[in-house]
Amino acid sequence: MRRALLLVVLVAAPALATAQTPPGEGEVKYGSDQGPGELVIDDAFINIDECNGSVTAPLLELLWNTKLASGSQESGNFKIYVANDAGAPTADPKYCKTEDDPNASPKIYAGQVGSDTYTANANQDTGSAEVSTRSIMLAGTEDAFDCNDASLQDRTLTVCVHYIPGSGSSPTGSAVGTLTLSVRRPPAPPWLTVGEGEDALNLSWGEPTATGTQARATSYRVVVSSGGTEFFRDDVTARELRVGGLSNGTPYDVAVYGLSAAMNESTDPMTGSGTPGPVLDFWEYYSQQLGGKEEGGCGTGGAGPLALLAISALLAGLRRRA
Amino acid sequence: MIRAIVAAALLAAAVPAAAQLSPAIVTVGPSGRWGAVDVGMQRYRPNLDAEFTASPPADRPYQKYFGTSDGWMLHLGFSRALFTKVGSLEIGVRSGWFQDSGTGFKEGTLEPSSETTRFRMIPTSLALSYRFDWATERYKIPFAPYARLALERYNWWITDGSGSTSEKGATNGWSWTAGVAFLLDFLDPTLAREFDRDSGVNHTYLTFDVSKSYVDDFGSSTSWDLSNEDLSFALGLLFVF
Repeated sequence: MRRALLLVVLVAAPALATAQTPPGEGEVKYGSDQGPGELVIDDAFINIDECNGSVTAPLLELLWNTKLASGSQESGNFKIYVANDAGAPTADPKYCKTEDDPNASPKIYAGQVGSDTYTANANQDTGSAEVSTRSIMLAGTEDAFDCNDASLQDRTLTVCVHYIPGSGSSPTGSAVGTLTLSVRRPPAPPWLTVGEGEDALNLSWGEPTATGTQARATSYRVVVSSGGTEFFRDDVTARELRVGGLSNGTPYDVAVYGLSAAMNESTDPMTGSGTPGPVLDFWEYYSQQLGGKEEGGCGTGGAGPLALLAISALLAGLRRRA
Repeated sequence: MIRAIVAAALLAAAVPAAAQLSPAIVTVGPSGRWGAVDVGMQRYRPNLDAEFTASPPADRPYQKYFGTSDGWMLHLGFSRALFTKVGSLEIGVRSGWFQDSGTGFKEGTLEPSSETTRFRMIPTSLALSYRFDWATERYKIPFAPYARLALERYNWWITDGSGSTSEKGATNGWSWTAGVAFLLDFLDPTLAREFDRDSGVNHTYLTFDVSKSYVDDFGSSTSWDLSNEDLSFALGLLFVF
């Protein structure tokens, strides 16, 4: 009995341990899961394409839990502000600067994100909002910011939610989060090998080394095309990839770009080409050889399994008799 | 077969967890003998090329794809004691894992390609073993010779470059094993007794054995030969509980 209990515990322990695994990295915490004064943004970066508007960036989702500096939570409004480093809060209560100050040194760029205010209910210190990347850009950077100047250093933009109680005009609580505006590009992989497989290409490439103002490549964009038609495109973190679903005998061009954490692409890709062709795996080669007698499938003649069953039954019987 | 593998996997998964369990979970006191669990590894290379002795060695399938060196076969066994008065007679099941990887060759030119092909196998056996541990129990002599006879069933499958299974099957046979077990309790009896009280493990042995397998569907003319090419040497741990 003791051993049975021990066995149950031994088997159950890993399952219990697994069940207590915390949420995975990258999952957004919602509502009251955030600590007081904390604001979470579902995308930590603004990249080149989002900065210059060449792609329609999805709205950023903000979730916050305000921390009161004084008083108690009552009905009122939340207002969202963005500021550059110079306009970021430095001490409690954490309020962002709310407007530009070009005379300050360094210059402050700050402003409200759009003109929206969000209703704050009594006894509810959490809230959420969706805001556009563009509005954050306009509020937290100078008008002349060049999204295509890859030599510009990353900038931290601080997002503040100010809680303004209905009975007043000054904020009495806030929540703060940050995101990074990055227009730096990473280098392309230094080399690329294209192995020709069956209906597939096996790719591997080297890790690029960032120099100067280049960003570090944290992932890679792989594009496979033929005759101007794109057959495959994916972003991967590994430095090797098997691209299947291609056609034997068709030449393909391969391009691998470096991608920064902000998902900025390297200016140029590392390129290669290859033509898939038929490959013999071990079974196919074995089958082609004269004398190959294995026919596959289950073992012939049920002797093995039958013998196992017979002996098991016999020994169980002997044991019972003993 | 599947249940045996699942049971073995559950037991293997439980081992690290067991190490972290509080001793307080199990009541203290000496424990009787019920059976044994053994884990180990052995050198293995299937004798698949036995039917191609007329071909140059470099063209024989297994050698061409997987080279000439042996691989490692891992195993986990679980057995029940049938008789423990003079030595231990046990019946048990064992299962394990073996894999060899090689490069596929281009059709026609037979030049090496960038594709990987794999031979994978789950060996399972029903084993009857006898361990002469009477002298160990009575006179504390730390060595116990043992022997084992087993019915074997090797489930195998071959994958192509995409990882898909290109063929699978199972081959039956039998094997014998002879070896010697060294009682590790001899090195630290106090720790061994605590281990017994905490987990019910009476003895822990370091095992070394030699075996020979005959896995060709008992001489079937339409089956390949998965017997070990030569004698196989294995090293393992045996927990008697």
